Amino acid sequence: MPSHLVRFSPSGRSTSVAEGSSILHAAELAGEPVRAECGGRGACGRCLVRILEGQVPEYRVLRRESGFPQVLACLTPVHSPLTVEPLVEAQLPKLVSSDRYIGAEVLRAWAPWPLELAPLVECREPGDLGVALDIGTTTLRLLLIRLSDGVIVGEAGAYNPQISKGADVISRIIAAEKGGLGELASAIRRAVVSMIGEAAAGGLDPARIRGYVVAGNVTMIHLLLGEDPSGIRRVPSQPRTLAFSPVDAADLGWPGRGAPVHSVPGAGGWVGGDILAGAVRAGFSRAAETALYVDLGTNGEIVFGNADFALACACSAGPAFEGGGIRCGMRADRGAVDGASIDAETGAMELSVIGGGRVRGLCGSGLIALADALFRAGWIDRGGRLTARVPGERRVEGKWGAAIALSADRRVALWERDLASLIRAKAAVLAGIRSLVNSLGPGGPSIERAYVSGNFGRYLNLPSAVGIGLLPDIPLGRYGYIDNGSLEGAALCLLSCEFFGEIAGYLARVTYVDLADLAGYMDEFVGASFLPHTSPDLLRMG
Amino acid sequence: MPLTGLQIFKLLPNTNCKKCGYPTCLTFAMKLAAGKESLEKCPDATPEAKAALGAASAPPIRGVTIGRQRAITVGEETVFFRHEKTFLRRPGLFQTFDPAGLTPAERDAKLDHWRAIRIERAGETFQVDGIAVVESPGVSPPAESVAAALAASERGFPVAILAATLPGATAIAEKIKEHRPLLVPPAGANLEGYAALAARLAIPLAVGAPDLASLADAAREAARAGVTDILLEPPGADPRSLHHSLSAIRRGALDRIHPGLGHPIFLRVGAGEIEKAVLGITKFASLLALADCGGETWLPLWTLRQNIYTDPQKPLQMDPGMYSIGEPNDRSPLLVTSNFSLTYFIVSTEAEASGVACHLAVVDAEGLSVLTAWSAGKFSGDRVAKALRQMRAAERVTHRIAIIPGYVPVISGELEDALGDGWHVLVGPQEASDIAPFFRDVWGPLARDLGTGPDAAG
Amino acid sequence: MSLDLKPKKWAGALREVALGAGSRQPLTVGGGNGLPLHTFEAAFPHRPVLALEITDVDPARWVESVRQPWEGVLGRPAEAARRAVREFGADLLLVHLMGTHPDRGNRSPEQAAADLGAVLEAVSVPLIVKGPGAGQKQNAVLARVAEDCHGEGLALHSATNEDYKTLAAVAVAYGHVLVGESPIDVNIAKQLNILLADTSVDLNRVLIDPLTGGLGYGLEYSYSVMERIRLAALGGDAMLNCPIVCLVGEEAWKAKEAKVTADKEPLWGSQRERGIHWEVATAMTLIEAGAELVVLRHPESLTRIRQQLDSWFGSERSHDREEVASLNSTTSQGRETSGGAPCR
Repeated sequence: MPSHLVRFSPSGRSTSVAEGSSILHAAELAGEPVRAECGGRGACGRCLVRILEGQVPEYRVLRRESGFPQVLACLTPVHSPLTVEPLVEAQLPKLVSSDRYIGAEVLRAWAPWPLELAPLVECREPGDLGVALDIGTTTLRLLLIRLSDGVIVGEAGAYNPQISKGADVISRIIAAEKGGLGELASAIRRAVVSMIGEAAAGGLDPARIRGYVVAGNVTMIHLLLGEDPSGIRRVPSQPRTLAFSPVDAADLGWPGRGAPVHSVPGAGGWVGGDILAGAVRAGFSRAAETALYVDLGTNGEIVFGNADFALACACSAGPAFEGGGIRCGMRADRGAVDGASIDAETGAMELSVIGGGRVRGLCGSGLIALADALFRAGWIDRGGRLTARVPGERRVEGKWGAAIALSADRRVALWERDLASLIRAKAAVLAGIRSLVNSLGPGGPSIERAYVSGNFGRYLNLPSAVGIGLLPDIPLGRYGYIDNGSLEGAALCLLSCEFFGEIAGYLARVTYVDLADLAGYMDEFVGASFLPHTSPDLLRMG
Repeated sequence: MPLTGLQIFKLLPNTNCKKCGYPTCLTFAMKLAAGKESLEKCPDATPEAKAALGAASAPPIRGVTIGRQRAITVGEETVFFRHEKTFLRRPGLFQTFDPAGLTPAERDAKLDHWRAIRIERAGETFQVDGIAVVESPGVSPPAESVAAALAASERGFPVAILAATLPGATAIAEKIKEHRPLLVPPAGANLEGYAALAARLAIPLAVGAPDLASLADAAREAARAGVTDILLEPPGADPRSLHHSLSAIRRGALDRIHPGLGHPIFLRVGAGEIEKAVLGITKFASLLALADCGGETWLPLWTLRQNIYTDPQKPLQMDPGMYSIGEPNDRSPLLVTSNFSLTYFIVSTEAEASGVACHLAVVDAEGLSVLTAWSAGKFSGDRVAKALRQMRAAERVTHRIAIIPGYVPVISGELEDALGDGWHVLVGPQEASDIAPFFRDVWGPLARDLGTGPDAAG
Repeated sequence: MSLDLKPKKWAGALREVALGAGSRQPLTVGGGNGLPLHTFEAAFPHRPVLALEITDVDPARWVESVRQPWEGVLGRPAEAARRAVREFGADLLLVHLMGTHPDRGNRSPEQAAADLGAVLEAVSVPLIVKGPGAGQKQNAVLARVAEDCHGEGLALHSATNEDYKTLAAVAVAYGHVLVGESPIDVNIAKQLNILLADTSVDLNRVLIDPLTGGLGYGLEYSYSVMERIRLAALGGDAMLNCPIVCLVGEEAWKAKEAKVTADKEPLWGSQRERGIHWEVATAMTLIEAGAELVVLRHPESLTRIRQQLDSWFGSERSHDREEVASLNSTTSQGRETSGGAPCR
C-alpha cells in the first residue's frame, strides 16, 4: 500500500500516511492540533483545512478561495502528497515554550512554608533527575529537576493531543466509553515522551530520571493510566479511585528504569490533584485566613477555605482565557497583543505587542486588558457591544457583526461575539466564586487572600480582571498570582515528602460543591454577564 | 432565625467520619442549613448541637391536619415571599355544601359527583380536597347536616363543619369525630363553648374575631382551653382589609410577635367571589371553603394553587414538546434544544427574527441549559432520540434532518444511530444569533435539494 | 393585649411615570413607597391602571367569547378605541399593530401611523403601541409612529437588551415613554435599564415589562420576578424602580383552559366564565406582585378588577398610614361573614 507525505503549514509538522487515510488522521500522527469535535464524522465543520499543494477529490471540496480548495480534514482521503493549512477556526493558538523556569530552585521559590529537601523518589547520584508534570485539559507542562539540589534544569510544553478526540473532559470520557481509551492513553504518554526529549535537549540524559510526579484533573489521570473514566461523569461522580498507587514508568513507556510515577490524589470527581496541589502550594492547609484559589483554565476550578475547611467547585469557564474560542486568539508568543490602553482625551488606542512588530493575534492577558480598556473608554457597552464611540478607522463590519480592528490591515480584529465569549467565561468564574463563598450562608467568611493561577502568558493584568468583573473587587494587595499552581505543586511534591503528605491530609477536608445544585447559581451567572456586573456592589467581597 | 451552613459546621464534630452518609462535616452542615437533612443522621452530635438546631428550626406557623382517610395537613410555612425559599403546604380547597332541602339520594349524588372529579394537569391530579358542611340554622337537631357530614366522611372527604349553633355543631362533630373534622364557629360567636367542644373531641378549631389583636388573643385562649390545632379566620369584609389581615398575620407569625398568630389561615369564599379566593391562595390562606361549584371556578383556582406552590428553586422550565415558530410546514427545518426556559426564549426569539418558520423540539433536560445538561448526561443522543420519537417528529416533517445545537456536535453520531430510519443530524450554530445566517447559508441550499430524493448531505 | 405590628418602612420608592401628553389626558403610574397594595403602611399616589387591547386588523385567533363584546369594531381601531373608553371604561389603550407583521398582512409603517392617528382622534386616553415583534420591521414601524405622533407621550413596546438603541433614540427624540422587555429575569431587566440609562434615556420615562406568564403557563415565574423587582426597588435600587406593565390579556387567553368549550371538557365548566376567570386571576395575582399597569382583552375582566381595586383606592385620592388603624384596635364594631350563598 503506497503512502504519502502530508505536511502542515505553517507549523512545518509532517508525517507519512497510508493511501486513503484521512487528512485528520495525518494531523493526529503528526501532532498537528486540529479539532474534531464530532469525532471525525463530518458533522461539526471544525476541521476545515485549506489545501496548498496536492490533489484532493473534487466531491470533498466545499469551496475555493484564491484557487485553494477547502475541505473537511476528517472526510478527505489522502491520495497524493499534500501541504495542508488548518484554517483559523480549526487552528489552536500556538504554544509558547519559554525558558522561564530553568535555573529556579524549587523549594526556595515555591514552598509555602520552609521545606527540607527530601525527595519523594530515590536520589542515588548527584545527576539524578525527577520529573514534575502538569497534565491540563488543553496544555501540558513538564519540568526536569535535579534531585540533589532541587534546581530546574529543563522544561517543555505541548498541547494535549487528546484535543482531537474532544475539546473538553466530557467529550474525552465519551470517546473513552466508545472504545477510545487505549488511543487516548497512548497519545498522552507519547506526548510526554516528546516533551522529555525536548526538555533534555542540550545534554541531559533521560535515563537518569528516577521518578515522576503527575498532577492533573481526575479525568486526565484516569486516561493517562488507562483507567476507565466513565464513572466520573455519573451523578454522583464515581471515579475508579481518587488516589492511584504509583505505577512503573516503563508501563507508560517513559524513561527511567524502575522509576515510579506518582499522581497527586484528587478530592472528588471534579476536584483533581492539580487543584489540590495548587491550593496547598498557595498555603491553604496551614492558613488561618480564608483564601480563594481560582484556576483560570478550561475547567475553572475554584477553592475557598483555610486550614479548617475547603469548598471547591468547577465552573467550566472554557478556553477564552487561554486564547481559545476567540477568532484571533493565540498564546503569548511573538505578535500577540498582551496589553492595551486608550487615551481618554485623544481616543487613540495603543497596543502592547509581544516582541514588538506586527500584530498577529490576542493572548489571554491581552484580551482581558483590551476588554477593560474598551469598556472604560466607552467603546463597548456593558453588554459587550460596540458603541458609536468607536472611531471609524477602528471599526470593522463583517458577517459576524461588528469588530474592533487590531492590526493595520484590519485582518486581526476583536469581534462582538469574542467579547460575548469572554463575558460568558468571566461570568461563569465570578458566579462560581460568589456562589461558592455564599454557600456557607450570610455573614460567612470573606476573601482575605486570593490566588489566581492560569496559562495566560506573561502575566495577568489584575486591575483589568477586576475591572471587567472577572475577579472580585477586593484590595489588590490581597491578590497573588501563581503561574501554574498545578505544576509548581507537583514539583514541590517531587522534592518534599512532607508536602506530598500534606496534600493527602488536606484533601479529606475538601468539600465539593456542584454548582448545578446551588439554587442561586444561574441567577449569579446572569447577573455576572455584564461589565463589570449587573450590581457592581456584589463584586466587593472582601 | 435558621442557622447558616458555617454556624452549623462549628457545632459538628469535624471528624469527616462519613457516618451521616456525606463525605465531610461541612457538606452535611450545608445540607442541614438547606433543610434537606436532619441532625439525627450524625451519631456523634453533641447535646449542645441538638439544642441549638432544635430551637432554630421550630416552625413559626404550626401544622394542622384535618380529616383521616384523605387527611390534609396545612401550615408550617416559613417565608413571606415564595422566592425566599418556597411555600410548603398547598392550601386545601373545600367545597361548601348546604344539604338543606335535599333528599338523601340528591345529597349522595352531589357528594359522589364531587368525589369523582379528577382533572390531570402538569403531573398533578386536581380533586375536591374536602367538604365544608353548612349547619342550617333554625333546624334542631340539624339532621340533614349530620347525615351530610357522615356521608362526606364515609366517602373519604375531610370535613369542615360550618356551624350555626353550639348544639348543632356538637351533634355533627360527635357523629364524625374519628374523622377529625374542622370545627368552624359562626361569625361573632362566643368561642368558649366551641373551644371546649374541640378540646374534648380533640379536633381542630377555627377561631375568628373582629380585629387582629382579638384574633391573636382568641387563638391563645383556645390553646389554653386545650385545643391543640387551631386555624385563624381573619377579619376583613372587603378585599383591602382582608389583604391587610392576611399580610399582617403572616408577617406577625414569622416575626413571632404573638404566639396566637402562629397558626394557618381559614377563609370562606362566597359565590361569585373568585377574586377573594385568588387573594387567599396567593396571600397565605391554608384552607378555603368555596361556594362556587363549577369547573369554571375550580380549574383556575387549582391551577393558581399549583403555580404559586411550586418550588421556585427549580429552574424555569418549558414543557417539553414540539413548538412552532411562525407557521412551519412539513418541509420546515427542525431545531432541537433543551427545556431551560432562557435557552428556549433565546432560541425561539432568534428563530422568529430570522423570518424562517421552523419546528422547535424542546427536549426535557430537567431545565438545564444545553451544555450543562449534556455534561450531566441529560442531553445524550439516546435521550434526544427518545424525545423526538415521543413528539412524533417524523410526522411533522417529510425530511429527516434534525438540527442540534452547535455546542454538542459530539452527540450527532449517537443521535443518528438512535433515530435510525434515515435520519441525518446537522450540527447547527453555537450562537443563537447565528440561526438566521445558518438558515440562509446552510439550510437554504439544503432545503432546495429536499424533496428531490432521500436525505441530503453525506 | 395589643399587637405591636410595626409598619414596614423602606429606603426606596417607585418612580412616577407620566403616560400621555399633548392631546392626551395624562395619567401617572407608580410612585408607591411600599409593597403592592400595602395601603395600610405605605403611600400610593396612583392606583394601578387598567388598559384594554385593540388591534389594527381583525384578530382572527381571538376566541369567540372575547370577540363577542367587540363585535362590529374588531380591526377598526378608532371605533374599537371609542367603545373601549366610553362603554368599557378603559383608563388607557394598548394598540397592537399585529397587522404589520410580515406574515399577518405586512402593513407598512405609514399605515400603522395612520391607524394611530385615527385612534388619537377618537379618544383622549394615553396609548401604548405594540409592534409586530422583535426585529427590523418593529423598529421601522415604531419609529414612524413615534415621529408622526410626536409629543403625544405614547409608550413604545418594546426594547430589549439585544435591540434597544433605535427605540431609545426615537423615544427620546419624540417625547415618548419606552417599555423595556426582559425574559422573566431580574438581572436582565436591570441590565436593560442600565443600558438605557447609559444611552441617556431618562428612567422616569421607562416602564418594565418582565414578560407575563399566564395562569398555568409560567405565572409564578413572573410573580416572583416581580416581587423581587419590587423588593430591589424599595431597597433603593434606582435601576429597578420603574413601574411594571403586564400584558395579561394576550398571555391569559393563550391558555387552552381559557378557550376549550365545555362540550369537549365537561368538568371544566362554562368556557365564557372560565376564560374571564382565567384573565382575572392572572391579572389580580400580578397586581398583588406589583403590576402598575395591566392590559386586558375582555371588558368584563376589566370591570371586575376595577371593582376590586376600588376597595383599596376608592376614587382618585392618596392613601396614607393613618387609615385602617381600626383593624388593629380592640374596639371595632364587629365583622360580617364573607359567605355568600353556599353551593347546592
